[in-house]
Amino acid sequence: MSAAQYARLVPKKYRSRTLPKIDRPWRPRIVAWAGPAAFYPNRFYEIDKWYKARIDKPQKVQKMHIIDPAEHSRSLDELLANKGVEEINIGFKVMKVSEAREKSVDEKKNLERISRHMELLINVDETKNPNLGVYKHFKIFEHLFGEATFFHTVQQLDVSFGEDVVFSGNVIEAANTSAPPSVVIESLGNAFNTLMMVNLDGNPYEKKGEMIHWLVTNIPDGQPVHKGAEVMKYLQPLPFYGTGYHRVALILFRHDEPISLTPNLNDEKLEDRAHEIAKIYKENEKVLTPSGIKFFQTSYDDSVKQTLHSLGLKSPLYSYEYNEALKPDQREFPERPQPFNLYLDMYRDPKEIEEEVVEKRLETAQLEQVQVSKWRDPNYVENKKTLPAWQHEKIYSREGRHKAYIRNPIDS
Amino acid sequence: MLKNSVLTALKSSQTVSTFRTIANIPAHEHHIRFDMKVGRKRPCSDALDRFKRLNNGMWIRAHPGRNKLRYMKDDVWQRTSTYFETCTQEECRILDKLTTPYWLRPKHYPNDPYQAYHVRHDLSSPRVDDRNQLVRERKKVLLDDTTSQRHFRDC
Repeated sequence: MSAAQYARLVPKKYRSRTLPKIDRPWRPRIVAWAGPAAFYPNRFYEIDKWYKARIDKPQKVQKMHIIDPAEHSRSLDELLANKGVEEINIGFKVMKVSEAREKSVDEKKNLERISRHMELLINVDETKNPNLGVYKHFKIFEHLFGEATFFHTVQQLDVSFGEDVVFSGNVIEAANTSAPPSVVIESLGNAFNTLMMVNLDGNPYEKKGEMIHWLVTNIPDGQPVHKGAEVMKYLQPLPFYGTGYHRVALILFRHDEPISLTPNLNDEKLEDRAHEIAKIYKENEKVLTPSGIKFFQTSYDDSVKQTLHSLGLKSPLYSYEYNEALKPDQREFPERPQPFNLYLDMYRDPKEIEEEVVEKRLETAQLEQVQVSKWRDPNYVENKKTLPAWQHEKIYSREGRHKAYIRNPIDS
Repeated sequence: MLKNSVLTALKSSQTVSTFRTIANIPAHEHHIRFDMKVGRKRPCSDALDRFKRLNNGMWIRAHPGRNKLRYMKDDVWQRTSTYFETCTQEECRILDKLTTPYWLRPKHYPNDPYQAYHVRHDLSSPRVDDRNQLVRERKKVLLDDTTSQRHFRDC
C-alpha cells in the first residue's frame, strides 16, 4: 500500500508516524526445498474446473472417436448396390464366343488346385483383348472421351516399335519411338479404319486438349496402314524433361464410309496438334465407332530434345516449384548465439551458395561425369583435427546444399 | 630422487590450476592494459585468441565447454557444440573496445574461408553510422543505394 492510499483510508488521528509495511507479500516467493515452481499454477495436470453444484461430473469424450450413426445409416447392401454413375459403352458389343467345351468337374477342380498353389500361368501374349481395368486405372477412357465412358476392344490391334511391342501401359523408351510403328489391324469385313496416336499428357500449351501425334484415316479393311490417308504425319511422342511418364494411346476407329474429319486438322506447327479428342469424337460420333485401343508410356530422353530442335523449338525443362523455407527475420546481432555460417547462409542468395558448390566441384572434376570418390574425405583424420567443423563439413558432407557436389541437374 | 621430483611436479600442477576460467582471470588481464612504450592501449590477446571478428563487425567464437565430458552428452549436442557461434551486440561492443583500431579494420586474405561471411545480406538496419561511414561494407565510389545494390552484391 502506498502512502497516499494509507492517508486516504486512515484518518490523521489514527495514523502511525511511519508508514506501516502492510504491503508485504502474502507468501514467500520460494520455498527452500521446492523452489519457486511450487507456487506456479499447475501445468502438468488438467485443472478440474466444473460447476460443483452439478450432481454428475461432466465427462469429456474425445471427439475424434465418435462415429455418428446418423451419417452412416445406409446398410452394406445399399452401399454395394449403389455403383455411382453408370458407365456408357461407346464402342461395339463384345461378340460372345461360346466356349468349345464345358469344363468337367475334375478339370475345374484341377484348375482351382493349380491356382491355389500359385502355379496357374497365363500367357499374357495369348490373351486377346486387353484388361479394361488397366485402362480405367490409368484413366485413359476418362481423359480421352470424358467421364463414365468405355469401350471394348473388338478388333485386334498389334502395334510395335521395332522390338518394342505395345501392350497395355508398358514403358517404351522415347528414342525407340522415333520411327512410326508397324501396325497390324485385324480384318473384319468390308469397312474402313482410322488410327490415331494420342499423347494424353503432352500438351504444353494453354489450349485444352491432347496431342495427336499420328492420324491416318480411311484405311481399307485388311490393308496396311500406308494405304490410308495420312492427315497428320507421324511425330514421336514428346515427354518433356521433368514431366515424368506420359500415356500414349493408339486408338482404332471403325466406319462404314470413307470420312473426312470435320475440324480441319493439320500438323504445320506443334500447337496445331493439340485437340480435344472428346470434341472431335463428339462431332463425328455418328460415323466413327472406337473398336480398339492400346497404350504405352514414355519418359524424357535425349531424342525428345533432338526432335524438338529439328522442329525449330527449344526443349522445355519442367521442375517442381517448392515453397520457400520459412525463416525468422534477420537480426543484425541475434540475441541467442547462432551458428554463424548457417545463420548468415540463411539470408544469402541461394544462387550464390549453389555457385560456391559448383565451383568446388569444378576444381576437382569436369561438369559432366563427376567421379564420385569412394571416400568422402580421404584426409578425414587430419582434417577433423585441424579444420573447424563448419569448414570440414563443406568437404565431406553430401547432404543438403552440399548434395549439388555429386548430384547436379546438368547431369541428365 | 628423480621419482620424487616428478611426484612433486605433479603435485604442484594439481594445486595450481593452469586453466583460465571465468573465476580465474589474472588481475593483470582483468582490465584494458595500457602500453607505456607505444603510448596507447594494448589489444587483449585473450580476446584475439578466442574470438574472430568478421569484416562486418560480427564477432564469432567457439562453443564454450565443447571438449568437456563429451561422452556423457547427447547426439544433438555433439553436433551443435562444434558450431562457431555469434556474439550478441553487447559482447561485440566490448570485444571491439578490447582490441585496437587495427583489428577493427576490414581484412582481406587470399583463399579466405570466411570470405562469404564478411558481408551481410538482406538486412534493413542502417548501413551508415553516425559519422556517415558504411558500417558493414567496404567503402565504395557509388554511394546512392539503388545504384550500389544493382552493381554490388554486398550490402
